Amino acid sequence: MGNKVFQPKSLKRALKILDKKSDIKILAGGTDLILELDELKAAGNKLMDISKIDELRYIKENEKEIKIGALITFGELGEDKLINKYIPSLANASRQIGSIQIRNRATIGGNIANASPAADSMPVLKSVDAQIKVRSLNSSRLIPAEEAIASFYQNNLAENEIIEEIVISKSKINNFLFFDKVGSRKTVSIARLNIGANVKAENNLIKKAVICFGALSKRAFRAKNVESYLENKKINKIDKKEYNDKLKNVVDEAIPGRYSQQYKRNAICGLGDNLLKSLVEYAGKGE
Amino acid sequence: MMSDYKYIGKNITFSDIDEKITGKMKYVGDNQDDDLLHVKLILSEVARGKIKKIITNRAEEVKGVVKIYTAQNTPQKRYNAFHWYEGKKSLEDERILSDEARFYGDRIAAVVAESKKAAKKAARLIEVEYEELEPYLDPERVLKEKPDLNIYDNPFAEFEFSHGDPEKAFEKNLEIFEDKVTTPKIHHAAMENHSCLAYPAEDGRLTVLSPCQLLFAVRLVVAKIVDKNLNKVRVKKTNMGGSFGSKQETFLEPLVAYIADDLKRPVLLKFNRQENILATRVRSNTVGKIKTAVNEDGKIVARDINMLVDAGAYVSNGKILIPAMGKKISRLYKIPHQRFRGEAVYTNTLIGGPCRGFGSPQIHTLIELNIDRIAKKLNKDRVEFRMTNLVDPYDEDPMGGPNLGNAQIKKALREGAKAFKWDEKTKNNSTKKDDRFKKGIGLAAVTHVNGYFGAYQDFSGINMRIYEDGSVLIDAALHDLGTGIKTTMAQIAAEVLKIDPATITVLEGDTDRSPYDIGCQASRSTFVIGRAVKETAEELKKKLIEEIRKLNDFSKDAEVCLKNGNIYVDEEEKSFKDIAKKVQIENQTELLVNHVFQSEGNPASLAAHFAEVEVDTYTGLVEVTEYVASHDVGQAINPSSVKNQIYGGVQMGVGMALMEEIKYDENGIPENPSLSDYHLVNAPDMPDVNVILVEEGGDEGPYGAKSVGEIATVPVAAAVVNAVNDALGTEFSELPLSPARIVEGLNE
Amino acid sequence: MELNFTLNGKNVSIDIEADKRLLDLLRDDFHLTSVKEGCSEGECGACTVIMDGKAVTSCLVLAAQADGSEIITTEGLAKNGELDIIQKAFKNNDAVQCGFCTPGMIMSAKALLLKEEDPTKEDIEEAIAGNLCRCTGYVNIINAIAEAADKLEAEKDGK
Repeated sequence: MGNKVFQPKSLKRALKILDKKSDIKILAGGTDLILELDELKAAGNKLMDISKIDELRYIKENEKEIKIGALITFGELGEDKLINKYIPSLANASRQIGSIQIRNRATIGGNIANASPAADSMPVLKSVDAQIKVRSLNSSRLIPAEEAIASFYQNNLAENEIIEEIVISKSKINNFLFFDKVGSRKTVSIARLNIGANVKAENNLIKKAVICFGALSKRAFRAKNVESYLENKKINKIDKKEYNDKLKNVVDEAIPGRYSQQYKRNAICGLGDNLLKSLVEYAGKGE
Repeated sequence: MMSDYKYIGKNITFSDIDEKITGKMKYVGDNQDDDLLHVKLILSEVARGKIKKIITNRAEEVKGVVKIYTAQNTPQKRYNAFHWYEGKKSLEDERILSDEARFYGDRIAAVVAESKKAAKKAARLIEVEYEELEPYLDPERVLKEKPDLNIYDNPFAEFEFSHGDPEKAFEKNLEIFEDKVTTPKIHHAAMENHSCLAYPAEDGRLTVLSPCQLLFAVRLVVAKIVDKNLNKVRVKKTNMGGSFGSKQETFLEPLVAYIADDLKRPVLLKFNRQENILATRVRSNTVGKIKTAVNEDGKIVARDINMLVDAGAYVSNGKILIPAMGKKISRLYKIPHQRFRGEAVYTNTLIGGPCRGFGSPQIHTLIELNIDRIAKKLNKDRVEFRMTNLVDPYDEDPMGGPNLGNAQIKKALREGAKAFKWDEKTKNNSTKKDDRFKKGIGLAAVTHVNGYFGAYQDFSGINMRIYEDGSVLIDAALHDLGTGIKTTMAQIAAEVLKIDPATITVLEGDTDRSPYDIGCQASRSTFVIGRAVKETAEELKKKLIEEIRKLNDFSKDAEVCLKNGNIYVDEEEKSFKDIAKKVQIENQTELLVNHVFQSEGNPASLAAHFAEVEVDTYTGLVEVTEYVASHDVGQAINPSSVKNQIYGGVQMGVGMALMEEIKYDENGIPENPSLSDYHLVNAPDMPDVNVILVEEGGDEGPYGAKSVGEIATVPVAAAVVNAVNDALGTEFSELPLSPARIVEGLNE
Repeated sequence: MELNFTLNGKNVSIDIEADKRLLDLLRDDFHLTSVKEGCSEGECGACTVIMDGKAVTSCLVLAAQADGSEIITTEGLAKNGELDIIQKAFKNNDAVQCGFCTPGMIMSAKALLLKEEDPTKEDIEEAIAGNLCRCTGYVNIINAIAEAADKLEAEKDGK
């Protein structure tokens, strides 16, 4: 690395560099990458710091969509009016990532690209079918956020690609959004399990449920069995035992035989219980 | 307690707080001299193995590398890092660099370079080839199979002591309660990682700068390794960013000193957090077994306790830990017949060393979990059951230890229970909120020491002087761990001399000038050193009066009285300055005294802690919702500082109960040597702590003071675990009660 | 590469090696040793500084990223020889034992009070959730920050 860190001030410049050079690691917030600085140096990687690309910092809306620039930090997401209005589960998730110091640096683009199975943004993004715009010098593609993940801590972005923004269609957002996580302590903990829910609740009835779990697989996924169990049920008439069984099933199918199975199949009931309590409270407000 | 003191019992602000809040306080790792050499250690990456080859040629080529050390080119003398006085019989099995890997983290090689960067780069290029052997990780397995893991046998220490006739007592028809409790390896987690600096001085001398707890012990072990007389080695205690016992042993200084002496240049070693977790010390993990017999009146008649200590890869303090634990069992409850047996074994794991409480948390967790369970089984209130059995003031120790002194545990327990509203909480029995969240309450009573009297020599020398301008200086081998000893010693001297403690300069230890003191260990700083300071101040006052009576201006029967920072001679106000300069000129002497105080007793410090918890039975997360810490402290010299120590002790103990443990995989490789995986209690997790101080004095400490720094953490884990077991109706006894353990335990 | 930024109120310009962390830059090149390295992974908070008004762990920031930004460390808090209100509050409340976590704690507190006038106890706990202390149990630290917030508010009202 020595004396060279690329510091493009524009996306175009960054993409040009990525197009020409190889073995470049992209540095945004640094909360994941800097931990590996020594290894990267030893492996001969060069860094490209994209934190100066101001054009990737925005949260905006139009009639149909909400767009979040990849460099927006979780600190910003947690406090942003638009996000709290339209995707409160994302704001909530943002506020529970790491500590304040981490949230002030960690970016949503970095969180996706880092491809941690426990990333707190992912079950939320999956639940609202968020897309990410991936750019290279000569191409642009829009893919579901979770498809950027190839495997544990491995994204499938090409060497010359950068995530530009996250796009969420307003039409995909139902009226009740929820996020929660279980860590090994109350705060400042990587999730051992997390949930992103996107529910259409009307007149005490669950009309549609999109329930996604993270930290159970390489990608956050929809728990279709839980969704179909909840759909068309009265919020205050959900049988706890049946509901818990469905939740436990999710874990049993995802990580059979893993040493954390016993723990997670119980912890998931905690998340499910919190979701239900929140729904009941929501319904009680006479939505 | 009497409060007609001017400085004792007052919340005097720490004398060095300004440097700390402005960031100016320098710790040894803040040394940035240009001519410093930097050391980077290569630690073993296998838990057990012979070293076949260490390939250093690529590392040697790195620009700035000065020398690379291995077992081949360093002294092979063995030492024991816990060794703290000349003549102590220590089991010596550690070397500055190991010739074979006995645990993941063992010191295998050291790179010395002109810059941190070069040292780090070179260290990465060193290749070590191991012939891996099967590591032994389970102390119980080692006790059975007795593998040969180091130079001493396995187990390398065994103790047994008893009082009364326990064999006979157990034969009687009594109810017997048996428990087994395991405690994990704990990382001290002082915020300052280990660092030390050594440099050659004139005349073949060597100076070591270290944030240590036992200055003279460091000198002793270093001198042995570098083969110099003690008067050629100087050790200065540097500002310390916490220790909790992790910096009590001398395991890094000998290597750094050797290198400095070899290269004739100043050398700095600074650990990062991972190295600190792996290659310093941990709280030893233990396996405890207890068998308790209770009669129909609810009195404990007999107890049989066994403690197995996992010392890790080297002995260190592993042998001494056993009697340190065993000697506690007869100083808390009145039990007519007891037997204690303990063993210490080697395993291929992180080395156990002194850790706040020195075995006390481990033995008391065993005892107090057992007591709580007994009380519940007998349908007795857990406070009352303890009350029936606790010691009284001035009880003798049936095991032969020193008299317990003014042991006010019953009072501490009563007042703690009252503040905690124990009766109300027990009556309400509001343990069930719903299926998911369960509340419970627990408590623990504990005992601890005040120094080494009864076990080892325990004495302290103090130099105290009044300079010719009247200012006062105290020079002693003090070790401030962040505990504020400089300030509390000033308070004690100030009370005697009737001057403002803020005007007194208190120096920490430097072996070149400080009188000998056995160091900051065994909870002796306030009780023994404080008393030494008090007596020295009294001696200084005596000398002052003597000298005044010799001065031309005064008669040999002059009335001398110290008051409000001045001296009143025959009721005439004189300043310290007036007198001191005259003494120098007329009497041709200096107002300097050296006084040595030998400890005369070892009363018990005692405490009772109460915890209320709420357990989420789905996620296994535990919240400590209320906490009371009631301490028999004799007299708090600086109550604010005492409370701070208790808060910190609770933070540490809650961690031990719920989240702290060093985990291993089956190859003996620690799985969580980083703070992202080794969780400490953070601010949101920390409960509010209500502190009760029972100050009845009555013992030999300065103004009746007794120790609190270590005992502050001793009862916490037991109180919290007892509360969780109360909430869940369980008998968890394997610490920590992590979320996974709780959930798995509930679903068995 | 050349780095230009504002450090404790002063404009500075320095040539650095690109792979340096902000922590190392501040300690080694500017001798601001209040910035401590406790864990090297953003968990302990001992290296916390304020960057563009926000608390960050300098061990995870590349020095190059500080180009064009405003950095404050504990050394930059006292104005004209007078301690910051937070520093005074730490002193008044005995919020310090060994002092190693103290600079990081103070910076997290400062960052909180820069944006939050009336923080609740939970706000304060959250602000220092990423700052570990092994000595004090956080109790007096929280009291100190609450007192500083009160004093700041009183000062504002007084104006």
